[in-house]
Amino acid sequence: MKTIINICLLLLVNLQIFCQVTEIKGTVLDDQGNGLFAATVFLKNHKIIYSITGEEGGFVLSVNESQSSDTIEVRYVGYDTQTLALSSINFDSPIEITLGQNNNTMSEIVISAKAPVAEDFSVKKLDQMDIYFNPIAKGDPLNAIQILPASTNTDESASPSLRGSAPNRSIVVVEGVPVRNPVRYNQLDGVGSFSIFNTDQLKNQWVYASNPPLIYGNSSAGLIEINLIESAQNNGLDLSIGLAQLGAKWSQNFKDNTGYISVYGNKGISVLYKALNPSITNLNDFGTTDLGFRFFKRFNEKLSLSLFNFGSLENYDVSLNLFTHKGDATANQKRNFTVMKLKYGTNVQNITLNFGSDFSNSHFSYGNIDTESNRKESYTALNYRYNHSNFVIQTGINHIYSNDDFVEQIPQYYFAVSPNSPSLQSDTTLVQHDIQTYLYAKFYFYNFVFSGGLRTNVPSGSQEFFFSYQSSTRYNFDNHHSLLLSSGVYHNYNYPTHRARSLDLLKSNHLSLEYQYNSAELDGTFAIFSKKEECAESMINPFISPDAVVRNIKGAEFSVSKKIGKRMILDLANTVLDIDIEEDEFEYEAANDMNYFLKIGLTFYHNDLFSFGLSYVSRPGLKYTSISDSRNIDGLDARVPIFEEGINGSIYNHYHNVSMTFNKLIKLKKDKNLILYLVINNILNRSNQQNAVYSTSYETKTFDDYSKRFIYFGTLINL
Amino acid sequence: MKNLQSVTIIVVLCFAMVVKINSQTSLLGIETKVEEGMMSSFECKSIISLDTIMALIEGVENSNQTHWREYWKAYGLYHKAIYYAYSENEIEKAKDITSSAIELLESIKNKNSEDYALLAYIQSFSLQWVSGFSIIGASGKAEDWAEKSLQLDPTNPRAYYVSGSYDYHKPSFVGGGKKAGELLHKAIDLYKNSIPNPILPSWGMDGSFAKLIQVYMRDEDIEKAKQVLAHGLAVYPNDRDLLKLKEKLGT
Repeated sequence: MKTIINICLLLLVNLQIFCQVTEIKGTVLDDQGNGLFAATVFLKNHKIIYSITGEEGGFVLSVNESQSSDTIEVRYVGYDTQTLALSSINFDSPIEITLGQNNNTMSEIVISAKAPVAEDFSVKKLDQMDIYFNPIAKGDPLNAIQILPASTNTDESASPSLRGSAPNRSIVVVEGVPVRNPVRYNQLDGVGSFSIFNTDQLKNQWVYASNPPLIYGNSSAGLIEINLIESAQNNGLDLSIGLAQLGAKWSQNFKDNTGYISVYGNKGISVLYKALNPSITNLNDFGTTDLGFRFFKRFNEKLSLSLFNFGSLENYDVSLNLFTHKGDATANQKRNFTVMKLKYGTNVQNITLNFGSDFSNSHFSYGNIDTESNRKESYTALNYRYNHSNFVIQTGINHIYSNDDFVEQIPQYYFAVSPNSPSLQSDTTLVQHDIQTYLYAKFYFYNFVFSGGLRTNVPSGSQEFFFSYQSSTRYNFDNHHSLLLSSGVYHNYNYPTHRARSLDLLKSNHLSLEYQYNSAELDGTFAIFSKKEECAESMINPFISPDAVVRNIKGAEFSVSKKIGKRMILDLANTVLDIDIEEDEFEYEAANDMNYFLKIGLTFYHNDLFSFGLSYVSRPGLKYTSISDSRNIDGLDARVPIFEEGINGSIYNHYHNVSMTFNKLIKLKKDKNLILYLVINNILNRSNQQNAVYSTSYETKTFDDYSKRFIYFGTLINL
Repeated sequence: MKNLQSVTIIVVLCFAMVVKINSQTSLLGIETKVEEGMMSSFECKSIISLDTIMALIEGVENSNQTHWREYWKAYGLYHKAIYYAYSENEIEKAKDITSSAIELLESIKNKNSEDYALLAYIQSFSLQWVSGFSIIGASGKAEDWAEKSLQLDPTNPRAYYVSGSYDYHKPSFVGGGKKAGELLHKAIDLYKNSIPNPILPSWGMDGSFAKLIQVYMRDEDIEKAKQVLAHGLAVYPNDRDLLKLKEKLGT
């Protein structure tokens, strides 16, 4: 009896279920009448009720009475979605639903750009590809900075000059280690056209125009932070052949993808370069041999080691005019530097140990100047960083040991530099232990980002105590607009140069206000800034550095970067610099006081065709103090120059330079490629005056120009 | 009596079953089968599991299913390439198989949004073996295919996923890196609202979470990275990439 009751109950339950559920049978077809396989048929407001069509497009959908007011929706990729109200369906017969193919266009999809987010500094990031396709860069990371509005470089070298400051006030940091003299051939006249860095090894570089972060010391102007790649892009051998250079690189990723090792070498020769560029008349010869080694290993999720070593032999021979002497200047340098970074921790908190060493021996000879210098430098730093969702804290301590030794013959009279003119012997050794400690913090508060830093030294010997500090506030209005206010007092020791064989403590006060706009198609910035730099370089007597020279810099920058279509970007930037120098009772305009400094860049790239970059740079000529007359000194074969009244009262002609780069990728077999590149500098072959050159009695004046038109090309081959 | 009871229960249970899937195709649940086949291959250090799944796919003969057969073959080849690259360290073989997968997809006539999304995805995967300047040419194809996928179906989450991934890696000098966050957010929203279909593709939601976390980490927005991570782990608690990112974020 009990069993019969159970059976009846079960049947009743099932009968009830059957009463509530109705099956809808149908077929989904395309517009040709063919069944569509795997289309999705579902109830719009009860998505758990769905069916997938079979091979012939058939489906069965089980629907409850309570869902009878719903709508069937049919979706299939590549076809328009169809809907059908259940109330319009005759459940007794199968239904047919026909889907038409869709023809969607892209125009409705609008995606906004990311917010400026967390940057508390005025900083620009350049990736490896930004450098390769930069029209001015010639493939060099420090040259690439010249297209930025903050770059106020006027000597066409790779030396970084940011917001009107001299290059020796800014610093280049590689994997957390400062690298002095980052430019090749950076001898007495700053010829360096390229940096010592290989773009191939570079992941990105961050360029701080002013108010740089105090987590690094030794900058009283700007800072360039270079990070190296952590895996090789290509296992095996790459060759590069250029007009003035032969290079090879071998790289190998570790099997477990935890790092890589890479060795590269370059040989630079001038023969072909000079033959193809006869306009470069002042260059007699140059040569380089360098060797680089790179190692990166991630031992586990927390521990990683980064190593980079670079050694070079460089020499050049150029024709140089200084006052009335025209002669050959020769220089050579042997150098080796090492950078190491050991990092332990996560992105939330980590400890970093940085180590660097730099050894060099160089020799320069020109007229009655003969300088032999030896340098030894080491850098050690320990840093701790903590990243919270609302704040960041970083602290650390670093020590720099430097030993600079100069054995030289220098002119007795600054204007008499011919080989026969009198000279003096000078031996100078500068030794320094520089210990500094810092604290940096950043806070997020709604749309604000606040940050501040303190840095101080632990004086040793006769060192002066200093205290650097900075603060900045960024306000993000929304995803597009933000404002940044920064200020700070900075200190750094100048590197001994031919003009100043001393380790002077330089000081600089900074203040800047910057507006930034970001969108998917357009970026724009506008900034005003002021700096007061103490212990600047004198312009009155280039061979003597006075104790107190103050350089007052005021400026404004404007830049726009606009995407045009899918494959083109237009960059436009202008900078205005108002720079006065106070020296004793004198006040005068600096040489690079300019009411405009315009840069225009156009980059085009097409995947299968080529990539092309064009740049135009225009600015007023630099100011200089002309020599109007001269007088004799008994017993001296050189005449004493008499400068015009008013320091920097003359001006060179306007500077205009149009340059281009061109790259073409040629696929060989499989994934092997050949890349051709061509650089043409100063396409219009304009004579941009760089230096005034005088006859023996200073009666006539002519000019040496910046680089005239030159061509450089080469190829990279993956083997 | 006892036998009658048993028979009755069985009959009732049969009536109670609701059949939703109207197909007996080998492609049913194929995406999961391929992924499980790859995991099994990794564990056993043998390609047999994946090859078995590939044979299953290739056995599909119905003309209505040809398009999807080719699609899933390419998907299977992509997973074979992963196996050879990361388990056997046979990079050249992995590159060959990746090229085959791309050629197969390219040969499909009347490609739809899913085909282009998979093309872009596999092309982006192949970029790890492309160096320097070559990246520009090779990645341009990935960009074109991702765009095409979006164009053909603006409701396809995989189109947003591959577009967002591509933008994340795109060089900034050509405007890259700006849209990745928004595209990946859109992908995740669409994934959450999709109707499960055991024959059509559903991959990419876990990858969207992982890539979005990387976007926030690159922007040093650790708080948002952690939020997305929590969301992703709630859906995929055992996802290897998300767990690695968890360790990196120190949570």
